[in-house]
Amino acid sequence: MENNIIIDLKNISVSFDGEPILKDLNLYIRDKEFITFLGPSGCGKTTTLRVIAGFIEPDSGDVIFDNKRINDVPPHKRQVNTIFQRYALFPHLNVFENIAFGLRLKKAPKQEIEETVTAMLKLVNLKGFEKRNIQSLSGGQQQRVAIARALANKPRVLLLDEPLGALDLKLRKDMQNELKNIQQQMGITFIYVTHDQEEALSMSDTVVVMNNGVIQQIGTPIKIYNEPKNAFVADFIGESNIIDGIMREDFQVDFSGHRFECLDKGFAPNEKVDVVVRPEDVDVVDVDKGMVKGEVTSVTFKGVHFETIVDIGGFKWMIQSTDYHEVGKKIGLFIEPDAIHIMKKSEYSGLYGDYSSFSEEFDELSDASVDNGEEE
Amino acid sequence: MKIASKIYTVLLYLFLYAPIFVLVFFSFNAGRSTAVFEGFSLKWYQEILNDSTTLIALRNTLVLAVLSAAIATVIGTAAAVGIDRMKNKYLKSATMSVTDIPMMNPDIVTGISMMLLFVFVGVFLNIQDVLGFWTLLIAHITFNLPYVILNVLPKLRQTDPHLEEAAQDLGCTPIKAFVKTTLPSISPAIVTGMIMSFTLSLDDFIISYFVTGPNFQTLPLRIYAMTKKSVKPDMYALSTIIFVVILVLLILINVSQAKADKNKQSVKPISKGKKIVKRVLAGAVAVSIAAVCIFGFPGTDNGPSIAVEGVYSREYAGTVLNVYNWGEYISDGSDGSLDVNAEFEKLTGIKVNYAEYDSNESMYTKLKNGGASYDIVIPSEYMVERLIHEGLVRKIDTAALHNYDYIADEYKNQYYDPDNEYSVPYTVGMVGLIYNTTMVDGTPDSWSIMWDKKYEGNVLTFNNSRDAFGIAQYLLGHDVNTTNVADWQAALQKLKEQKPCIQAYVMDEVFNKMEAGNAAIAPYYAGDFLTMQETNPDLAFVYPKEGTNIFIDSVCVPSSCGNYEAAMMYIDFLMEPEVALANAEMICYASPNTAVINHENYSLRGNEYLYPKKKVKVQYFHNLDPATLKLLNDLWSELKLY
Repeated sequence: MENNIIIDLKNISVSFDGEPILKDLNLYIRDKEFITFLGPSGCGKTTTLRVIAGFIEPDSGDVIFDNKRINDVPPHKRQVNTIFQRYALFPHLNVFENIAFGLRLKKAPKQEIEETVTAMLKLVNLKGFEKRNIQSLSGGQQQRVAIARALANKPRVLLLDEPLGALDLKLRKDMQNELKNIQQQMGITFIYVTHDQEEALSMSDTVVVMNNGVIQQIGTPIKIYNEPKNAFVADFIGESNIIDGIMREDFQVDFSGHRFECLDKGFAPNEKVDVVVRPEDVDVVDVDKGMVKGEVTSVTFKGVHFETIVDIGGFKWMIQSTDYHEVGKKIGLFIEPDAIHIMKKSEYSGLYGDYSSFSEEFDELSDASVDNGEEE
Repeated sequence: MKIASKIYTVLLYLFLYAPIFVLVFFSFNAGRSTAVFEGFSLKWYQEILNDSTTLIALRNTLVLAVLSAAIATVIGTAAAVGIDRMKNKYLKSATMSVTDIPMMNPDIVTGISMMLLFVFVGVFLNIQDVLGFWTLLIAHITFNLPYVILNVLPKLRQTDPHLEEAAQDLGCTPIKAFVKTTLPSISPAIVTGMIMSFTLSLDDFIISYFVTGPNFQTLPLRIYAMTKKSVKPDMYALSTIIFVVILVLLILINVSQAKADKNKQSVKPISKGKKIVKRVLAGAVAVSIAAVCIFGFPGTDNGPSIAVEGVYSREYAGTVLNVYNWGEYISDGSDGSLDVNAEFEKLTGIKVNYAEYDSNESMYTKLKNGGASYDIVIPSEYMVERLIHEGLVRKIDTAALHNYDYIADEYKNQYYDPDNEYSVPYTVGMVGLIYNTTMVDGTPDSWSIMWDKKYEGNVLTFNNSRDAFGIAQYLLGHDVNTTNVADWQAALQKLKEQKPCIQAYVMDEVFNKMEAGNAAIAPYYAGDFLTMQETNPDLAFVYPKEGTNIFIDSVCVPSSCGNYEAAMMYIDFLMEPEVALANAEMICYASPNTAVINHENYSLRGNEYLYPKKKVKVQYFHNLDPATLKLLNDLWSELKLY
């Protein structure tokens, strides 16, 4: 196991102008793994990436690469390559020269340069684009050139800083698949930074959820989704109803005025907990058959399902179902034991998971601000 | 709308280019007038190629412009990069404001402060002659810097900071990353900054004027110094050549740019910036080569030479003599004449640094401020008096001069130098009345004709207070140097009465106006009248009976002189009959040198205007005391506003 680790960050702290950005961060990354740093704007994910790339020297802590401390190694001597947020392609060079840039610096023979560039262009599906100007390429094509340029250097680790952020949705989906394929073909480590939870879940072997310079949870996408460690993770990854509950005993939890069976144990008797119920795990039943009852306050059509907000004892739940229930209708909810996830109380308790102030518009606004203001 | 915009465009270009076309047109004029076209001729082009002083000035200007632009570009770019990367916002904006200030400063402030600094440092480090090429270069770099920074900085801000990181990420050292990414993307701005610097440096006059010394004269300084006589038409030829060279360069650049754009897809694209850099460099090289080719090695042409007998030793060969003279005030080899300085150099082996000034006052400023030492200056009589008074000139042992006896006695022992201890007369001139015989009836003999209502709107007069008031004072019978306020007031009253008759207050323009017959009457110097008469034979000249002003420009040796023996040799050389003759022919003013006056080859020998048989009543202008000078200035303003 130990031999398998390519990068090890030990007690990394970084601050700008006295403002702490990373707080005593510890993380190891396995070779050939696809790992994603996920978190909102300003959480320190890009900073972590830049520490690995060598553009930021940590105030304290060690950056270990291949069992060697590389804190003092400048960026150009590190065996990692980066794909930048806005690609950072060299506008004065054509596609070929952009990709050949690193090889030319290494004074690679002409033959090798041409072979590598051709192979890279093939890899990113840009055959025949050699002589094109960078400015004449679309965003997606530029993205591919950026990938080819980084990979041409045969890095041990590829760092990707929100590489798909500037692409439209459809293209983003395609590129996600392509990136995953490339990673598997090349057999190298990808460290991926994003604020898009869906992207993180669909591509990664391991997801690192970060907030305020602190790692919240590390795990596989499924584990992170199904067993979030705290309210922040539960809310950030997918939609969650997070309700205050009391763990009566193992497998028994009280919330919303009802005792539910669950699959969780190991809490103190009567311990206060956060209960997570995913909106898609709730079954809507007739009022009299429901474990809890409530009134529909709003409905939004989302394509694959309806997003229904239900008021249950003053707490607004979100429920995703394919059935339509009009506003004002009284409905009952049925929740299976395996749909319930119990979390220990944390600093984030009570901050998330209530949809009473839910507004789609607001959600989009905050998304946009994330896109533009990512830790510059 | 369309027609209106077309008319607008035509007018715009007309206003922009009309002056240049006029200049080009008159550069082919056979005569020296800019008012009358006397036939097609390439004479001035020929002349400019033989005008070694101008060619040296041009070469100096080009060398200075290229060097200062190049150095300012390097320093300015580095500074811009530094400013761009400053983390502290307040420090950054403060630095930028400080950088901008020199640009806002009036040139004259920059010029004077730089001169003071250089002189101070010169004194501090005990350097004689601190002002010269190096101070000019430093000054030009300094005033060019803000322009480079101002061009480069915005472009830097537009440049993606991640580009350099990307390059480092791919294996570049930080410096290499800058060279490979940021530099190409800001190179258009760098080139623009460089071109701006080059142009600014090329035509700077004010700052250069203050910080240069005797051994380095630029073209703008030289042209400006020509105002004692009118600007020589070979300047038109020179301007035309410069204009055409730039035009051709621009066309070449545009054509090749268009071609490059067409071929863009098929050619391996080089960076646009690089292309521009290459072109500009090519252009600069072409200009320099052209300059060197056309203007060759100035001063090596074979004009006539003279044989002088053995009073000139080569004892001081290799030393330098700094001569500071009026513009166009020596025979310089043009038009097949004798190149006086070159002859002197050949004879003695002494290197002559020849610089020019446009007025007694600007020469005085240079002497007074120090920082540069001159060995020879040629001030007018009132300035000689002032220089003696202030100890700025030293005594000359006239007894040791071999040719001093040539100087006519009537010009010796004048009020400003009663014992001939400081000055040797060089040229003499008197103001008279020039009139157009086709417009004026009879033969005027009095200044009063300038008040004659018959010539309303057809009279020109001096655009300079001393000379303009002088005319009124002769008429009133006053002393031109009076300290009596009432006398000055009376003169003002007289001039106010004259105002309806006056077409314009002029200096140099008098040539064009009189040559073209645009005015009937003008007071000016006899020597200049001869020049005008060549173009317009209808002109006539008279010395009015009330008297007139006389000037004597004399050779002096400043007290800062470091090569007295060479200076003495030079003064002797100027009085040498052949040399003095060449100068007299060229300057066209009267010579105080009897060997010239009686020389059989002298084309103006016995000229009735330069050497009138009848004694002319004359008055010298003396230095006015400060109170009178102020009064005169006030009255002059009052007259202008009247």
